[in-house]
Amino acid sequence: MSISIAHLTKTYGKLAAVDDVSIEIPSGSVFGLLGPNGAGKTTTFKCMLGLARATSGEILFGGKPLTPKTFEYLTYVPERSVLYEWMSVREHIEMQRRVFARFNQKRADELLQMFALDPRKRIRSMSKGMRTALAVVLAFANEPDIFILDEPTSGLDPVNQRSVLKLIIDAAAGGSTVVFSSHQIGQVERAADHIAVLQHGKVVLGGAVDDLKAGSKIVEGIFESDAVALNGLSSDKRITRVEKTGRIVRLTVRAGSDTLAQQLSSMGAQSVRIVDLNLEDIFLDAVDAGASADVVEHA
Amino acid sequence: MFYFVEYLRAMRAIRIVGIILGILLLIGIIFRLSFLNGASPEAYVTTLQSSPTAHVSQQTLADGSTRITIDDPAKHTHAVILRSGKTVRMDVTEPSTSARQYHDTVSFGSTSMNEDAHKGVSHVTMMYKPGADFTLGGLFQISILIGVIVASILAGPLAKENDGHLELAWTKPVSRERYALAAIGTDIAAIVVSQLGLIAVVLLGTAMWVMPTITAGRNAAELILFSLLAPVAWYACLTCFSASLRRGVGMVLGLGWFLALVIPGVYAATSHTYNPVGIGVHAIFMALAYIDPIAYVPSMSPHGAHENMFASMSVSLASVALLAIAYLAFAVLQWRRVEA
Repeated sequence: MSISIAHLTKTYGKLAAVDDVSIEIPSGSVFGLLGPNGAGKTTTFKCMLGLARATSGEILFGGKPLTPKTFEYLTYVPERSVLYEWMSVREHIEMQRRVFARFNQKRADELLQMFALDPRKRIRSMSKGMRTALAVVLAFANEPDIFILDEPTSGLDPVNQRSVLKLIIDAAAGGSTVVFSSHQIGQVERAADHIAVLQHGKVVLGGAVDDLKAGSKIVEGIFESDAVALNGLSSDKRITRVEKTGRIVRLTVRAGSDTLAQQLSSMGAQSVRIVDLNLEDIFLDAVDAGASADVVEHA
Repeated sequence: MFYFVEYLRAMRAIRIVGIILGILLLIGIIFRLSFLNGASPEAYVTTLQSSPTAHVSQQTLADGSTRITIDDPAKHTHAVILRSGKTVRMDVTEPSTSARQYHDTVSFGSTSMNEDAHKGVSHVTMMYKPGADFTLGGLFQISILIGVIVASILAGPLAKENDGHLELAWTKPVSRERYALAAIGTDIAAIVVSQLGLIAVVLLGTAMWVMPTITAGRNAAELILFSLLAPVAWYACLTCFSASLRRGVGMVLGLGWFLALVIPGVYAATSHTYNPVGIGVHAIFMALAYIDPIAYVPSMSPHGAHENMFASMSVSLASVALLAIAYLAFAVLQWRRVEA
């Protein structure tokens, strides 16, 4: 089921937490929503789900606006724990089972086992990671068509993080649409086929991950000493980012990677290579947009 | 069952009430067992009658009452028991257990006793009713207190959701209004169950001593309705004033009790004042008292009449019903506008 967000704006007083955001999420895709802290990811999710009233804009799920019935096939894992401290794991499972017609008890039991959650345990005695794991169990046992997951791996150990990613990928393979946010860009890169990057409430980059990667390259040169003069590089319109770590210079370039590689060679680089951009580079490039080229020096 | 969380909360409250009532009943049973066969006037009459040296005669008087005369010369005891309708009067003359002269008066429930001891002879006059009469309305009125206590425990279900659970509550396939009303309905059911539990315990506790009899009494329907609605109105009031709060529901519940009792108190205390400030204060507190459900709860006069600061029982009943509906409606309207 596809999701369409058109011109979504949410303001708190004069502050626009979400500013004219438009995103199209194809059915059956895994969509990663990226952005630094306070970029508006959680507010976007809340507006999508009616938990916060959008100031303007339209959100459609499978072409239809949100109604209570939408939640029969949509599930949400919030960023922070919203579980009831005084209730047990079993009672939370029971709560979902009694509400959602699609709830699969067998699946819930399997997932509890996967995350090693004790059904008798009260939430108040559980760690942050265990709470996140339970929220994931509740979401995936519902077997919905749409998952909206706000940092679903937060607080989880690497093994369980990997399990959540596998659940996301499997859900999409089964036809579900997954929208998720994470600060761990590696996870988004592994799971997502589409992304949008939010900054200051605006979408600063969006599209299919493969398309985004194809557009830009990294040109990396290794010099004899770290006394390299980068004059001229930062003003080159083809370069969006210049990074220097000791003897290594990395250029994020939009075009002309071969020419720039030759330029690095002529500047004295001992070896030069051209590599594809990873999502982290794309993300950093997007959130740094505004300055034509950043020179970032690392010790 | 999308109100499962509220159902669990209500069950917890009922469990607590059940434990407290169970403890009270247990104390009653222990108390009764410790006085087995010795405490009731009927048991005393039986002891006198069953003495092997007693001469017992019984006659029916012209007014239908019966008189039993027990004469026991061996024990120097003479007793006359007069049963008239539901009242029993007993006059017993017997040797005193103490040599000194004294006079005692004891009153316990429907039993009253006078004892005069003089020169080694004791004369006891006892009047009692061998049963306990309850009116249906009165029984329900007893339950108001536990009703408002449970109402206070369960009140503010919407504010409890506001405190970090809206993402769960509002992502269920049900409208916010329906969710809120179902949660409120669950709590109201729990309040009523706790009231019925108290009534059952009162009757069981009484039955351990004397057989309770229940009559409809005056205005039974009105009293029952009022007794059930007053705690609901109180619950509604607290729920309304906390519905849009994210935190601090505990403060509303705690302060609510204080204000609910202070308002009718100040209203009553300033009712006979004649200085302008006092009249002004009285007017303010009178207005507040009209929207305070606790101010409508009657105190029982010795004659069982409805006494509270307002007019008749009918007016009070209509007022608490209106308050309950208005507060609940306003609570739901507020809650649906809250943002997570």
